Amino acid sequence: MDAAARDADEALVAIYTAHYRSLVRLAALLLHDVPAAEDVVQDAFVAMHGSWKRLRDTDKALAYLRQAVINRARSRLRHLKVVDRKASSLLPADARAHMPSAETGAMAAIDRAHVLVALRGLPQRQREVLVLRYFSDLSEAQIADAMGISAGAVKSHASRGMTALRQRLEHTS
Amino acid sequence: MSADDRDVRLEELLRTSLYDEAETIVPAGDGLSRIQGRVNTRRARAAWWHPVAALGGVAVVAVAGFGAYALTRTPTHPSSVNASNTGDTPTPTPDASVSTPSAPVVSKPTFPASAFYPFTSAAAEQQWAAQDGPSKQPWVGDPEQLAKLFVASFVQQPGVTDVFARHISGRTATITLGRTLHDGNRAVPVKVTTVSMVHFDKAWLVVGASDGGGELKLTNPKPGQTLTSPAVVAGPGYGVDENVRVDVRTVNGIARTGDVPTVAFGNGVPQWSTTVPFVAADPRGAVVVVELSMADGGPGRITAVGVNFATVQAASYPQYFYGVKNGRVAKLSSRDGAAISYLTPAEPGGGASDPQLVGDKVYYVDGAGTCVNALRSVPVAGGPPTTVAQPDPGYAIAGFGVWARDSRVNTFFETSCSSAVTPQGRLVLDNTIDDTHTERSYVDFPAFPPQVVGDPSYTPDGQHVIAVVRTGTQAQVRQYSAYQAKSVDDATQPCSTDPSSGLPTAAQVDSGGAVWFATQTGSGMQVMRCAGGQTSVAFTVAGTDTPADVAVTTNGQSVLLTDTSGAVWRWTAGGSVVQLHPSVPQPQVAW
Repeated sequence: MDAAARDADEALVAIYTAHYRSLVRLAALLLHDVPAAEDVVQDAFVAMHGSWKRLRDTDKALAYLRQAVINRARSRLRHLKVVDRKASSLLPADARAHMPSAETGAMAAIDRAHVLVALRGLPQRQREVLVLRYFSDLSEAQIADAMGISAGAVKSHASRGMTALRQRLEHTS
Repeated sequence: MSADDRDVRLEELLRTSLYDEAETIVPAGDGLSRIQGRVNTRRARAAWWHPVAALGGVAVVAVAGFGAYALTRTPTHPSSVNASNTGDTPTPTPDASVSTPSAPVVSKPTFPASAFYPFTSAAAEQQWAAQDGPSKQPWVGDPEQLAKLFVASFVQQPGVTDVFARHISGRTATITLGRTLHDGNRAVPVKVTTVSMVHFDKAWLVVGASDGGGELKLTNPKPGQTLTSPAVVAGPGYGVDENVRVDVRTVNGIARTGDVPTVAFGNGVPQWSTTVPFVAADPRGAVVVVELSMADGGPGRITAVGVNFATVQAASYPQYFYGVKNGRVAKLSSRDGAAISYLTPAEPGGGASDPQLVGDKVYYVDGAGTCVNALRSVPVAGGPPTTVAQPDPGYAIAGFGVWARDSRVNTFFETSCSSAVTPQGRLVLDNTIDDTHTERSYVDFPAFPPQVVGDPSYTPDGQHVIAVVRTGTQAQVRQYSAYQAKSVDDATQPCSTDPSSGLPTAAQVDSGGAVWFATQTGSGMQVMRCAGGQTSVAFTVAGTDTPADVAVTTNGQSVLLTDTSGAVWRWTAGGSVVQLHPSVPQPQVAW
């Protein structure tokens, strides 16, 4: 095995150790399917290994992985049609009965599961921006890089996403 | 509730919902092997492809290439095969790298129960072997080299390198190492330790070390024993005036949290013992005892016993801490620094600064950046702020502390609003006698430096105040009597500090009386813990930042450290250091 291949193998193990779990979680939050999320992330790692000669940097590799995970998650959603469109409409009736009004400021009492259901119902780009912002703690620039869009578009998706999320939660109260 | 508050709450709710959901997602443990299997498959395919391509037989390549692909392609998860590939996907065949039920079952050797160096688990050894370890680190496969490295790096006695005896028999090995002791004009070779090793897979593993002379033994702990902190270490006495240093170590460094205990014994004392507090992130390690030679102070005997560490749960930290956002005291999430809610209203005339949690109230300086500020408090549960103390006319409060047991007792360091005023600063001891009467005493700081930096902090008995005093290029943690101190130097220094440990910049006392202070070193920020005259490093943050504030929980189990740019780090005993990411800089925090 040549030095470059060994370098790629070592980088693979190091990056896997540091980031595999969080990337699977990111993918799972986007796909709502843990086995599919693992496949997507493993695909991304294999691709990263193949591109290591070009990357040769852990930070670049992580950015590449994020981008690959998001693209593959989108592709997976398209092909397998696992988007739960129902989730975008209404929350369960029994859930609504117990949810306090957001207007009263009791937002913290709302079941977190309902937030996730509401999040799942958002348009894909808005959902991706919110997950990358509030789960992956990425900056606007990093999100823009990962999604392949402009920073302005990130701001726009984030703003619209939060507004839509609030409306969905308030409508169910 | 304002729209701003609702936004903050929704953001926090979304963040916690995502984190909580993510916590439930646990990937299967075979991710790496699956990826490596696919990488190897691609590699094998590429290796096969290139020579064939070199023959120039295009048609042959096309057919044979497909055949090779069919034989080697790794199936993806059966429930999630990409639909776009199904048309050209051959029948999946088992990956050669994955064992199948029909494969012969090979019983794996058990990892030695008391092995602790250089690997602590079979998985670690196998990872090393899989990553070409035997050629990269050949010393792991050589017991003599391994014994020397163990003594040099794990025990940290690099001078013990002479080989006195070497016994290797199949799966076990003992290497006796020593050194030359210089006693007056004599150079005497002395045996120091015998390192015991066992062979596992492709590596040698250290399972213990004993005193070559048979004197320095441990009755506690036993090899393979599971320890909880503090470790009780004991052994039979011997000799006349003996001194041993006791440590708890792991492959990743020192697990001991205090200073290294030195135990003196001899003269017929039948038993010696000591306790060693530790925090171990590794599952295994060793108790290491080194006897120092009376002749030259170097190592005379070394004994090491491999032990397991009880699973350490990182101390939990408070759910919230307090900072300032938009000039208002704000409650923030301790997990990530996100703002939760405001405790104080927006007010004109300078905002809030320097929040401190005492009991069920947050104290803060109102009128930040002005010369008409005041010490105020607001209930954590919400309510109107109350003025607690005001500086003397012509002065402004720069830092303060409130006695935890009686909030009517507080101290603050006030600085003059005009450079022409003397003294330039005063440490004020402020006792509220009743609603209309306060009693104040002062420690004057005529001209800066010296001056108090950061917040003064009361000792638990309320009799003393701890303050960091900057004296030009130096700074010390000083202790002033709350009722008798009259001048800058009328103080003691309760914490022994090595100048190389950095420049103290902030301090706080926990309810047990331990002083926690932050220092700036050449390579980072350190938070030190000082108790009973002993000072030790609690944690370190690398970089060139200057510490601004240190906030410790009353039980001393969690600490927030900030720097002057407003970055915040959270540390918990038994855990790690985590940087938080508040939306605005938080140079001063409390919990």
